[in-house]
Amino acid sequence: MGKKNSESFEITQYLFVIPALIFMLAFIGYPIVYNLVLSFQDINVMTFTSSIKEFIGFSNYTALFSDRDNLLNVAILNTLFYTVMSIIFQFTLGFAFAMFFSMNFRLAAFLRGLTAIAWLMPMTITALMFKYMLSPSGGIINEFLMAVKLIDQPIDWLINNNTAIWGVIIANIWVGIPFNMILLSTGLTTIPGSIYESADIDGARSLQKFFFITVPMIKPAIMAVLTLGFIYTFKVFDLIFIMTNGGPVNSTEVLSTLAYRLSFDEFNFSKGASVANVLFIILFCVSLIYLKLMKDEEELM
Amino acid sequence: MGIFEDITDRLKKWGELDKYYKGPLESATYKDKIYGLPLYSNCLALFYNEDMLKDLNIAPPTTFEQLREAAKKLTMKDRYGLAVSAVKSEEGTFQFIPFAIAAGGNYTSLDSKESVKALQLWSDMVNTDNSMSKEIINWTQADVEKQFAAGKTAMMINGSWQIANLKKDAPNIKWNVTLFPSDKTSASVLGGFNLGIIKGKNVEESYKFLTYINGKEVMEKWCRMSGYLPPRADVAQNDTWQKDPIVKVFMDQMNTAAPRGPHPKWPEFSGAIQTAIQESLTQAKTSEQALKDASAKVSGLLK
Repeated sequence: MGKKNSESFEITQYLFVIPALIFMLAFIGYPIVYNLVLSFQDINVMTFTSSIKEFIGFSNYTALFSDRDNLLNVAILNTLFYTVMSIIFQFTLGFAFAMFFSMNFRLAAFLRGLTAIAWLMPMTITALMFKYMLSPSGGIINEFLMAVKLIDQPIDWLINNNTAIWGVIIANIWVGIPFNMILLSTGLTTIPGSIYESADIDGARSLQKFFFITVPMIKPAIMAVLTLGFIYTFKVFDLIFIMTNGGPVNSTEVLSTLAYRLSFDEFNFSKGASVANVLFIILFCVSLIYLKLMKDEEELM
Repeated sequence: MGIFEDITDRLKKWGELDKYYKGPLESATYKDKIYGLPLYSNCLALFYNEDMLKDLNIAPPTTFEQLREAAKKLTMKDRYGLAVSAVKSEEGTFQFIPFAIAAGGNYTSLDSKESVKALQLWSDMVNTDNSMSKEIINWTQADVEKQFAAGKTAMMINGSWQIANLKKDAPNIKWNVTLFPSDKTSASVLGGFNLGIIKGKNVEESYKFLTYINGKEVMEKWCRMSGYLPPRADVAQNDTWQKDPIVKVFMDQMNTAAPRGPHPKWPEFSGAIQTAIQESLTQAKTSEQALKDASAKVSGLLK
C-alpha cells in the first residue's frame, strides 16, 4: 500500500510539471532550434519560397565576422560598452539609493516606491521621453546642464556619433536603478542589526563597516543583480530602436538591432538568425557563469 | 523573385495600361515584365507656411537653388527654413531619392556627380547654412509634420497622406503645397501599394479581382473613400482630386513621381543610402566619399 502511494505521488509530480514543460518547449525550445537551423541555411527574400533549403554550414557566421564593414564586430563592441557602462552606474547608484532608503526615515517607503516608477514605465515611453529630453534644441537635460553652467552649448546627444551611445546609456541607467535598488534593499534587510552594533562597539568606522560587513554579507544579492542586470541589459532592443535605431552611423548599433535590421529590413533571415545566435551564445555563457557562482555560494553557506 | 506571376500579356490585352501614371506602373515592372497593378499611391511635395513666406516676400521655391535661398532667409532664432526626414530607415531613403532623381542621379548611380549634388544640398543646408536642424537624422516624416505644425520650420517635404494630419494638428496655420523642387528635371517619389498575383493555383480568379479593383469606377470609389491618390490618370480627372487645390498639386506631382527601384534587393540599396545620408549629415565623411562607399556596397546587386 505504501509503495502504490509513492508511485502515484511521483507521477503526480511529473504531471504538474508537464504544462510548463510543453510551454517552454513550444515557445522557447522550438524557436531556439529553428533559429539555429536557420543560421546554417541561406534563407533570404529570394529563397524563402523554394522547397529545397540547402545547408551552407558556417558561411553566414564567417561572412558576418569578416566583411560588411565589420558591422557584427561594431555591434558586439557597442553592446559590451553599453552594457558595462550602464551596469557600473546603475549598480552604484542603485546601491547608494538602497543604503539611503535602508535608514528608515519617515518618507523612505514612499520615496522608494516613487523611484520604482522608472522601472515600471513601458520602455517605449521611456525611450520617447529621453529622446525629447536629450534634444539639443530645448531638451530639458541640455537646458539644465547649461543652467548650472556645466556646459555652455547644448550637446548634440543623439545626433553625434560620439555622444549618442552615452545618450542611450543615460536612459538605461535611469531605468535600471530601481531594479538594482530593490534587490539590494532586500539583501540589506537580511543583515542582522546586531552585527553592526558589535562593530560599533569595536570602534569600526562607516567605510570599514560598509566594505567588511555590508558587502560580504549581501554578496549573493550583489552577484544576482550584476549577472541578471548584465543579461537583461545586453539584450536591449526597444530602447535603442526607438531612440536612435542604431544610428547615427552605427554608433549605437547593438546585436539585437543588427539582427532585426538583417531579418526584417533586408529580409536576410539567415544572417539575422546568425547574429541572434551570437547574442544567445554570449548570454548563455554568462548564465552558466552565474549558475556556477550561485552553486559555489550555496556550498560555502 | 519567383513569387509573382508575370501578367504582362494579360494586361496588354486588358488594354487599360496607358491610363496609368508612368510612375506607379513602373513600380510594378521589373526587367520589362509587369507583375502587378498599383492599387493606390502617394507622393512627396513641398509644404510651406504661407504667412512666413509672405512676411519675407519669398515666393514658393521651384528649384534647388531657390529652395536653398528661401530656407536660408526663412531661418530664424526659433525656427528653421526647411525640414526633411533623414532618419536611418526607409523614410530617409524615401525623402532623399526624389532629390537624387531631380538632380539627375538615382539608386543605380549613387556615386554620380548628380546624386552627390543632391546629398551635398542636404549637407550644406544642415552644416553650412544651418537652415535645416541637425536633428533631421532622427526625425521620421511624422516628426517633421509635427515640427511644421508647431511652427518650428517654415517648409517641409512631406507626403499626401499628411494632409488630414496637418488639418488636425495645425488648424491655425495657413499652409499650402507646391511641386517638389526641380533641378535637372522634375521629380518626386512614389509610395503606396501594388497588388500582385502569386504564382500557383488561383491565378485566373485573382486576375479577375485585380482588374475589377483596378477598374475605373471601383478605384474612384475606393480612393475617394480612403483618401489615397489614384494611380490612374483618368480616375484622377474626377472632381475629388481636381477641386481641392492642395490635392490637385499632389495629383499634378504624380506626373513626375518615380518609384523607388523596383528591385528585389531594394532594402540593401536603401540601407546603403541611409548610411551615406547619416555619414554625410554628421560630417563623418564627405558626401562624395559616403556615396562612393554606398555605391561600392551595392555594386554587386546591380548585375
